[in-house]
Amino acid sequence: MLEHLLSKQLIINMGKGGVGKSAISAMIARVAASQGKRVLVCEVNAKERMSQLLGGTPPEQDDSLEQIWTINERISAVNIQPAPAMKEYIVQVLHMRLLYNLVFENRVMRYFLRAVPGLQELIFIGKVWFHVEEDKHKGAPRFDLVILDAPATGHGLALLRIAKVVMDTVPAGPMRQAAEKIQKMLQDPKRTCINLVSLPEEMPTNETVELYHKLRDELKMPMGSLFLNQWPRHPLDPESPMHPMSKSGIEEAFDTLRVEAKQDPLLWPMALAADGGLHRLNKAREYLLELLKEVGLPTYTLPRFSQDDEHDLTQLTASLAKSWSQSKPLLASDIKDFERGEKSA
Amino acid sequence: MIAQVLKESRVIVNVGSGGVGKTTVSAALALGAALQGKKSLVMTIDPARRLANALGIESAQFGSDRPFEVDASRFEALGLSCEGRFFAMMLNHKETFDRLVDRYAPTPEGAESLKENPWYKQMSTALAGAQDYMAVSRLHELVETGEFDLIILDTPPTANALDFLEAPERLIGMLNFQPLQWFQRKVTDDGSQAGRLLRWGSSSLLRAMGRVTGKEVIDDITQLLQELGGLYDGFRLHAEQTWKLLRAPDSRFFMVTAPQRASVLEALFFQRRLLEAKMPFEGFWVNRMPGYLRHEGDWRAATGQETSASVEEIRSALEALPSAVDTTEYNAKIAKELHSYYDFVRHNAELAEREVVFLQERALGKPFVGLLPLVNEEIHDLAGLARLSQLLLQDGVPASFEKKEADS
Repeated sequence: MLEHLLSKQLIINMGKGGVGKSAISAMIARVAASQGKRVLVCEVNAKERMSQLLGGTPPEQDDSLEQIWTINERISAVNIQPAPAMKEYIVQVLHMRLLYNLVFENRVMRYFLRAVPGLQELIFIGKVWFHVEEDKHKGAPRFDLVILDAPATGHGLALLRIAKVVMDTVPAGPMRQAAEKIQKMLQDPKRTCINLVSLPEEMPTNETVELYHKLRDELKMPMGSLFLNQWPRHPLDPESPMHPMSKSGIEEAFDTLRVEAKQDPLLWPMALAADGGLHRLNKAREYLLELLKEVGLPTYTLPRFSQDDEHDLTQLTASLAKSWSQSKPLLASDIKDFERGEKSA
Repeated sequence: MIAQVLKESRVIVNVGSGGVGKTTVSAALALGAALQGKKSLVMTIDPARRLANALGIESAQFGSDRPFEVDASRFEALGLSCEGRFFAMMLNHKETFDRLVDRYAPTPEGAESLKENPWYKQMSTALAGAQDYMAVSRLHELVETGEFDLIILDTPPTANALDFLEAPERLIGMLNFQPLQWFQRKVTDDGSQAGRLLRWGSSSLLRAMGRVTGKEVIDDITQLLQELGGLYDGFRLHAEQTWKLLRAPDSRFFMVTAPQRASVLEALFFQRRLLEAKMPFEGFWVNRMPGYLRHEGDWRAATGQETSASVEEIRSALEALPSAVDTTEYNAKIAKELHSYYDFVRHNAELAEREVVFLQERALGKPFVGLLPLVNEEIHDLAGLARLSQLLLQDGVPASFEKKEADS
């Protein structure tokens, strides 16, 4: 599964806001780098997160063409911003430096270009395309893998949809040519795969199902894996839920005594805490089941971790990357076992 | 305090990043106002289907951009006496935008031609900021009707919290920028030196842009902008009225956040921006505080009881239970896990409380900070919503059991 994912040139991580897309992007970048790949992580017009997740200090915002910064030997990152991306497109792709200097340095013109519907999205995804294709030396790509940490659902979809919109609306010209190349790359299952990131909760689950159908059926994009973040800890048996569908023996034992335990003054607060935890875990399993049925992509569950002063985020992504690279995804074919309640680690 | 705010306000705007439960808090606030006798409306963007169902509103109606009333009989069935009336609606941006075009286009033909432009559809849905502009526009429309005592707006989730404040002005700015006026005037060749220069200037500018986007695009866009330009005066007026409404003395802003560092930092950043924009900021709701309501409706008992029991004591207690499974091995394991899970839950609760303190220390002024519990069940029915309303009306749940202990 991992090989399948890491053999791509472009991985796009999509999902609702706040579900941990950036953490997943950073995690995949680490694993790819540990296998010797040169990786570029692209954020889009966002509050930069990669320095926190992967370490390193991002450069000051400037107007230079090179917006990419090096995190370590193998991982680089870029936060794609409207104005520099526009400049790069005009100077490097269209080779019109003079034109840029004459016209587009002008604040008013930048304004106009921002007003052209979709142009900004096209420039953003165009920059991603440029880095996927970019050569360092003749024939040798600068990056083996580009990871796009997409903006939250609506903005992310606009980004993936824009090439097709331009092709449907614009009969000819440079915008259309760019759109055709981008669309070809996005739809090529050999080069590109789109992952979904979500949480085992109601709203994110509904939105993920909807997003999946839009991406697969409407935009015809090649789909990869589903990452379910913040999987709740099993309250009674932290060892067993390696497989998130298993119902362990200890939980069954607890079933038989929970009623009495709740009346015991000593056990009561603990029994309540465990009950609440089991309840949340069972809800999470329901959403997982729904996602396997409705989406059916190979699914990874990742533990919830608290982000606080004591734990360095960089260390957390490192340990997340390590456990993920050794785990197996759940498949739609696991549903039957799950429904019988027999699936175990 | 919140009961008073609900009594005094006409508009409440809830802002916050995605995934913090903003929609639920908005709906519960509106319901709280209705329970107090107001005619209230919650305007939302994309509620969970179950919440829409819970309110008893068909999804087709919900997407129609119009308020729908939650039937009084549904309150009676729950034994709730609802003094007021409770409405909910889901925003539909395209319809709002279309209505604004109809209202402000110089001619009806102009409105039709604009709505048929292929780029218009793109713009009304995809243009950055259009959603936010539409949300506040619709709010303004509904306030204008005077139909509701209180309207609660659940703002669209944005990639960047600033969008909500900046987008409308950006949209207006786009309609009012200089080169657009050149296009509108369709520079005529009057033979004068100045006219020729202007014409040369604007056409070479267009040519230059055409090299970036393609000529066809420029033609379409030019036409779109010409037509949109006609809306400028109306849109500007509308935006000004809307911003006046948001800053009115009977408007309030609440920031909804989660007890996690990233979310709290964003909330603090956004509070500063709201104050800079002179918006009437009222306070924060910290949602999903762990450590409360571990058992439905009974957070106090659940958290008030401190236990310092050792694993060994817990094991004995388990064995003393009449129907405990007869496997000492299991009991020992359960005892250990109960103990460690309880520590884990408490640790999480402490972390969350630390975030609340962090928020209180860094917030500007001394704003209201209300805490809302993490509940086992996500709220999906009117009864659950009503319970949350009760908590809101009591200004949320009190601070932690740790603190209570220290205080007593």
